[in-house]
Amino acid sequence: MAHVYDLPPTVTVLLIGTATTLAVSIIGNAIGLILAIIICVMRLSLNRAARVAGAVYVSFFRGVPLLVQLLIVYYFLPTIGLDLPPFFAAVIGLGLCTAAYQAENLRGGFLIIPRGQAEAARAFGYTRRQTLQRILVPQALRAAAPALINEMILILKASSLVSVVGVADLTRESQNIVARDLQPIKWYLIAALIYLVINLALARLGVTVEKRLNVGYGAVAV
Amino acid sequence: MTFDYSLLIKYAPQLLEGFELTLLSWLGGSVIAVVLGFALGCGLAAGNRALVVPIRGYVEFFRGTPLLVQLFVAYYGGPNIGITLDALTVGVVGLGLYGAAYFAEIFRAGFASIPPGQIDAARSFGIPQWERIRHIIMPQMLVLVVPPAVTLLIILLKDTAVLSIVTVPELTFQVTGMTVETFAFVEPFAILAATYWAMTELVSWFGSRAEVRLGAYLR
Amino acid sequence: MQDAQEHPLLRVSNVSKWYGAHRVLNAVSLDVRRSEVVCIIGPSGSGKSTLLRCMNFLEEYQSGEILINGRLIGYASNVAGRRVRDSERNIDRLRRDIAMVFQQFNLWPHMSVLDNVAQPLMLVYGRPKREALARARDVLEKVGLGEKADEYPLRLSGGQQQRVGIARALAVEPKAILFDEPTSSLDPELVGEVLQVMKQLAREGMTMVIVTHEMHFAADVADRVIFLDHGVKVEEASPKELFFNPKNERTKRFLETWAERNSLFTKASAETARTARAKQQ
Repeated sequence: MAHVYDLPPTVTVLLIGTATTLAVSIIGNAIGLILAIIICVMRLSLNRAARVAGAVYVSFFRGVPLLVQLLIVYYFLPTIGLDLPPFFAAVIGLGLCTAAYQAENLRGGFLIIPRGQAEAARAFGYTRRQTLQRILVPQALRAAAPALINEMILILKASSLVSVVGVADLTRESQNIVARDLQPIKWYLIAALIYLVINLALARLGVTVEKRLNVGYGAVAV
Repeated sequence: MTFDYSLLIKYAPQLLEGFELTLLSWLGGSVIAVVLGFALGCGLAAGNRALVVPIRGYVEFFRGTPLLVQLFVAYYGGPNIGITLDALTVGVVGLGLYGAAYFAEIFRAGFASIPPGQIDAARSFGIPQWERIRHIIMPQMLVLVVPPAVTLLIILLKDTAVLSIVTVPELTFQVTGMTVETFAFVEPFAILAATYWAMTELVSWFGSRAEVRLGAYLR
Repeated sequence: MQDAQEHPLLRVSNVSKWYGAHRVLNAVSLDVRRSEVVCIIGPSGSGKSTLLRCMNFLEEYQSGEILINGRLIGYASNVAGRRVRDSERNIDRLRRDIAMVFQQFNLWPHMSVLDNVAQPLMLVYGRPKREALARARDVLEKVGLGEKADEYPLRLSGGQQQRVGIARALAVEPKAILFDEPTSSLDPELVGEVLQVMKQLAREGMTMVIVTHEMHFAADVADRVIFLDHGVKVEEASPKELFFNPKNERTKRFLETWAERNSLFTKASAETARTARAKQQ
């Protein structure tokens, strides 16, 4: 296999940009999922203040463009003395935004579980914790899986906006190449194609994962 | 932290102009997206291979690549092949083409969700095809399509912010310019976020009202 | 009258239909004359619904002919004399004489009950709206649903929905009505109200072709019963003959299986059966 340094510089740059895009998406998704769990718990909690706070969070981060959120994070971090590389602003921005969508997806998974199931578990003497762990969470995750996976894939496309706050992702690197060799159609279409291929591959993977999750789940198979 | 209102007043004309362009590009893009998406959705529903294959290709491409990169191809690449358009035109048409790919799928699903028995009933009375589409299929499809269409319109509204990157002087563009000139960050971005937030909430409120009214027969 | 004797209202002659290599109808022939009630029975998958759907060309068939008032529906000859699909306009025109009632009702859920009944009158017969609505009210009254005219269909019970389906068919004053298992998707306690409306129509002389699993009903109202199995017309006879003295082994077996399955039926059905028998003998 050819060493990366033997490749033409443009190809190397595109590969590194692609790797950055993947890294931003994966880390952004990880942050988003952790936050989403917290927000989902808030929205389902018995505490009114927590519910309202969760709802406001979801409404705001779903109501404002991702680009604006990224810019806010990018400008805001230095004002509180956090002078971090753009990469951090990017993954935090992506994570905050996707968390709002994922929290709703998770909540949807919980809401479709029939009420009687928790009651049945409690009737058999399960503790609250056991009910949640053994009965509710596994079902909610299965029900929410398609939406969760779909949103994770969407983040890959959305991540092209991090180029605006100075992250050298696939989009930014193709801009850099175009600035040098002035062939915008060629390079932007190549970039588009790379996004498309990764997207389609992820969609395939998503279908496989859904099928695995649905094993033994009767007629719900995909 | 103090909130300097005078700054906003000083920049009010630019902000207003930006707001107008945001609205204009949203409405323009949405109209293109709905009309083209409807045509593409009809093509997909018709099930003719010669139509379905190219439309599928269109849908996969526009849904599988970032809007930003699509805009780059058109705005910076256009002149290379003799198509020089101003930023606003590229933005509106680009947003429209992008949204059309999603609307195509929404309309296709809408057509597919009308039970075939209802069409059989209409045929059994000898109701001609055009009347079947007009009186049986369309009214029901429009209702089924409302919830996903509203979600998509909200996405398109937020995506108008991306047009700022190809220099369309809409609201986000004006606000970033303002920040660069004044070094102020809180005021411009507060008004920016608040404007988008209010608009998306408003659209989704209208959407759910429409949903309830149109779908009355289902309950 | 003489003409009516020569031309049956509906003539199915030698009709065969394939799904790929699978033959669902095998050279089926039958005539339906004016004011006749013909019931088609048979196990599920025997092709009886398909046959009915062919009768107003909701399904294509590959050979044979179906004539409505002596006119072939669905096909025409091209210049080379080959059989081709007729224009949709011609098909629609012939369909006007034959209305249909469906197993799943197939009402249009976005319109009120009244509009469901009036819609074909306006779209197909070009009746003015006022006239169509008045006619729709009349037939709804007839099936006992006058007060439900302004409801949406999905708010009605299954039995009521099917009665609307019948009203919709009646409204266009068809020469015949095809019933495709009209009670099969109803809860048992709702079957009666639908059958009652159908009996009333039979008494008034409406020409009806009914695909059904309701043997008691068939015995009660049919002029002729046809037993279909594996796409073949096995036997055709008066209900008395077919139910109490079947000639064919397959008919016998089918009726025996049916009787066994229904031997646990409540007293009420037994009662109906007894009256049916009394009427026949």
